[in-house]
Amino acid sequence: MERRPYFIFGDLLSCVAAGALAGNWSVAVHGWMAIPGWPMAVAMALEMIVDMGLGMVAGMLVAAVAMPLFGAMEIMIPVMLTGMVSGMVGMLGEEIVGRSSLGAEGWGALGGVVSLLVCTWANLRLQGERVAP
Amino acid sequence: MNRSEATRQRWDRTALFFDLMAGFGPEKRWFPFKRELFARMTGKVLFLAVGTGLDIPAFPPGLEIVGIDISPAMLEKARTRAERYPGKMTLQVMDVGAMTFADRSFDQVFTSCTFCSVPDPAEGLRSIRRVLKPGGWLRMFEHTGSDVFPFGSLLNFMNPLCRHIGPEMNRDTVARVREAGFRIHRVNHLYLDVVKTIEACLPAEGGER
Repeated sequence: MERRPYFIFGDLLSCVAAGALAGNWSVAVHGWMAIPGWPMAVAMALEMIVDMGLGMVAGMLVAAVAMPLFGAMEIMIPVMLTGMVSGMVGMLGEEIVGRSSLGAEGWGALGGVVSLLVCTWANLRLQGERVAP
Repeated sequence: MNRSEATRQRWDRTALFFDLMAGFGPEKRWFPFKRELFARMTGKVLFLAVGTGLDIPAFPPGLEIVGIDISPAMLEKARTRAERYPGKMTLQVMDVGAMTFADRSFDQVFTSCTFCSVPDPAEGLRSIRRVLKPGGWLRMFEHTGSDVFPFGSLLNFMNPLCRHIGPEMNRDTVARVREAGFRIHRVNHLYLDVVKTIEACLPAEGGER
């Protein structure tokens, strides 16, 4: 379990940045996806897929900057997960919860924090010695 | 162009910016784990894919270590670090899958993020078996794929892009080591089930499976 403040800060910063960027992009594509006449469920499903893909691209960009500073897999995996989650959460948060002071970037950043917590929890469960049979 | 040549060219290109990519964050993060693993070095040691020599400061002093790498450009950058090592360290350009050392030359073989990039892992491990003395140890610091959702899926998704830059993200190195006839002694997960140390020994009875 990482206890060095520099790396804990780096993990958090990377995930928040990736989440905010993914959220921002999800808002940007929302206008393009809102095609009149489309059934709402289809449009939402399609947008979620597009947002997820864009979020992962956002995650890759942030990872490319953050990895040399803060780590390799420990950055790449939570940041990519953040991109995937926050792409969807950013827009959905704004649409479902309603326009808020948080904004899509804020929802995305929140998605980043949650993704990091999920990775940290999974890491606590998985790390440690395995004596092979 | 064969796979080894393609790998050499890729790492020659990567040598230009490798230290910038891996020399600070990843290295500082992993240094304590690597130092703990490398502290087990004894006897004549072969270090595979030594790269630009970022791992050399984590080696215990006073040993005889041979470092190889497929990329001359990476090794050129490693020379200064190797010269500073307080022991005997030599560097050679060599492919893990086609090592020219005599059979049973080394007491231990170490790797550090090597088998994510070796073109043919099975061939590489057979080659290690050949140069390792019976009863010798293979100790690895590696990142692998994950058996856990969603991490495994993420690594699979990233793999097509990452393999063009350097490493493969989803290899099952523990299984490959076992298949190569090594007895796995311990696997220590350092981050999720992705970053890990693997300690395996070659059976003493002639190295047979």
